[in-house]
Amino acid sequence: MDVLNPKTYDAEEDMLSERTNYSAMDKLILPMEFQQAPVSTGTTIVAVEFDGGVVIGADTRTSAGSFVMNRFTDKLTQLTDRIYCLRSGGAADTQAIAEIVTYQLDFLAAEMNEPPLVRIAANCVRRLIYQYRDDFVAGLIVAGWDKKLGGQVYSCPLGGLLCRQPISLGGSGSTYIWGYLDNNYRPNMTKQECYDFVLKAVTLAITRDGSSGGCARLAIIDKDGVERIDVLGNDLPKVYDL
Amino acid sequence: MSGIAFEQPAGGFVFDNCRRNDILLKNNVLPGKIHKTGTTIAAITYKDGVVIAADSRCTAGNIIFDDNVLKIHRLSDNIYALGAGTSADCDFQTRLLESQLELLKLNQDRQVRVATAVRKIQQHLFRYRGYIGAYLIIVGVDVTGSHIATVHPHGSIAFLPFVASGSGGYTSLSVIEDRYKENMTEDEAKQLVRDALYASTTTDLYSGSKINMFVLTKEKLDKFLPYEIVAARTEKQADYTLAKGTTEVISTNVKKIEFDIVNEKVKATGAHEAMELA
Repeated sequence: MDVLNPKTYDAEEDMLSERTNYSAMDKLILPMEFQQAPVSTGTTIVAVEFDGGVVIGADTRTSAGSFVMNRFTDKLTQLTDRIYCLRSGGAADTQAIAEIVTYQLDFLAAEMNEPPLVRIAANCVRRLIYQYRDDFVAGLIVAGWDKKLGGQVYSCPLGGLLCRQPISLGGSGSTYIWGYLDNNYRPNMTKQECYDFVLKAVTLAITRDGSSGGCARLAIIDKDGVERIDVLGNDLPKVYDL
Repeated sequence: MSGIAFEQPAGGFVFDNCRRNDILLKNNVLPGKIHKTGTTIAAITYKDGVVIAADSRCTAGNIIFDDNVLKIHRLSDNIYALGAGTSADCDFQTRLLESQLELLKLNQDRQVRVATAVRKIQQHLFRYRGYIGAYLIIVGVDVTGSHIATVHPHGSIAFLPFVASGSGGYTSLSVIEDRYKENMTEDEAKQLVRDALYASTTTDLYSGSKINMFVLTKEKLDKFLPYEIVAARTEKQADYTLAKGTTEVISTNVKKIEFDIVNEKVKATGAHEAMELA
C-alpha cells in the first residue's frame, strides 16, 4: 500500500458486480474450466431508521459470474439480538466478517454485562474492513436498536469508512434506486411507511439490476425484538414492466 | 482493559506468500499444473434424511485415470462430504476435518453437528484465500435435523435443500430443479438423484463410469457402491483375430547378410552376495 498516495474512495470502484482481479498465479494453476467467477452477493441492500427502530431489507440472489448459486440467500445476518448486518460484496469475505464480529460482540456482551451498542458493532465491522482493505471486497450496513440511541443505521463501505446515516443503500443494485430515494424519502416516516419504502426500493432494484433478484427479505428491529418478513417473488409490489 | 475484546490475533492474515508468488512469476518460476478430475456430485433432502450421489471417474487430460474413485468421504458417522475440484485437496481436507471432528466428538461426548463441520472447513478454506480448490458438499443428519451445505474454495457457504456441483453439476441441477419437491419418499428421492446423475454422466465427458449413492437418515446409512453402472463396457461384437493365410504370399526372397566381429568385450556381472536370512 502506498502511504504517500493513499487509496481514496472511488465511487466507480463500488461496482461490486465487477469480477475480482485474480493474480496471474491463479490463471496458471487453475485450468480454464475451473476459473469460476468469485461468488459474490452482487446485491441490493437497504436500511432505514425510524423513531424506535430500523427497517432493513435485501434481495436474495448470490451469483458466481452468470450462474445463480443461491436464489434464496439470507443477506440479513444477525450479529446480536437487536443488531443485524446487511452483506454485499464477496460472499466468503462478508460471511467471515459477520462471523468474526458476532464472536467479538458476544465476548463484549459477556464482559460489559449488557447488549452491545449498534455503533460498537459497526465499529468492529469497520475495523476489519479497514485493516484488510486491500484484500476484502465487502460493503456492509450495520443496523439495529439499542437503549442509548434507539434505531440506528451505519454504513461500512469498501475502504473502511464508518458513517451513520438515517437511510443507507448498498450493493450493485443500489445505483438504480438512488433516484427513488432522493424523490421519495422523507424524514420522520412511520414504521409502516419505512417498510413500504424498503420493499419498493428492493423491488425496483431487482427489476433493473441483473445481479439482484429472487425474493425480498425484510426485518423490522425495535426494542421488542426482530420481526422477519420474507416477501416471495410473486408477492412483490407490482412494477410496470416495459 | 484496553480493548481486550478487539484484540486481533498477532499476525492475523499473512499475505506474504502472495507477494512472493508474484515475484516468482516475474522470474519465470512456474507452478506445477493441477490435474482436475471432473465430477458430478449431488445431494437432496427428503422426508427422513438425505440422499447423496457421485460419479466415479477421474480423468487426466483426455484419459480416464481411474474408473473407480469414491468421491464420498466420511467425516463422522452422521456426516459425509462430497468433493469436487482438485481431488487431492478434497481428499486431504476431508481427512483432516474427519480427524478434527473425531477429537471434538470425544471431547464433547456427543454427536457432531453438520453446522460444526461446515463452520470448521469454511474458516480453514477462508484462510487460504481460495488456493485450496475444494468445492465440497457437506451433508448429514444430527439432532437439529438433516442438512446440506455447499462450501466454496474462498470460504462461502450456503445451506440449501438440494445442491449439485462439479463439471456435470449444472446438468444434474436442472434435472433436480424440475422434479424436486419437499418431503419426498425414499424411493422417489433415490430415483430423482439417480436420474440427475445419469443425465450428467451421459452428457459430461469428465463424469461417468459408476453412480455411487448413500442414503443417510437418523437411524441408518445405506451404501450403494455402486448404485448403477452407466454405460458398462459390453462384450466384443466380433472376433478380430485373423486366420493364418488371410494375407496371400505373392513372392519370397531370402538373402544372406555378411557380418564381421569388430570388437569384443567381456564384463563380469555384479556378484551379489547371497541374502542373509535370519
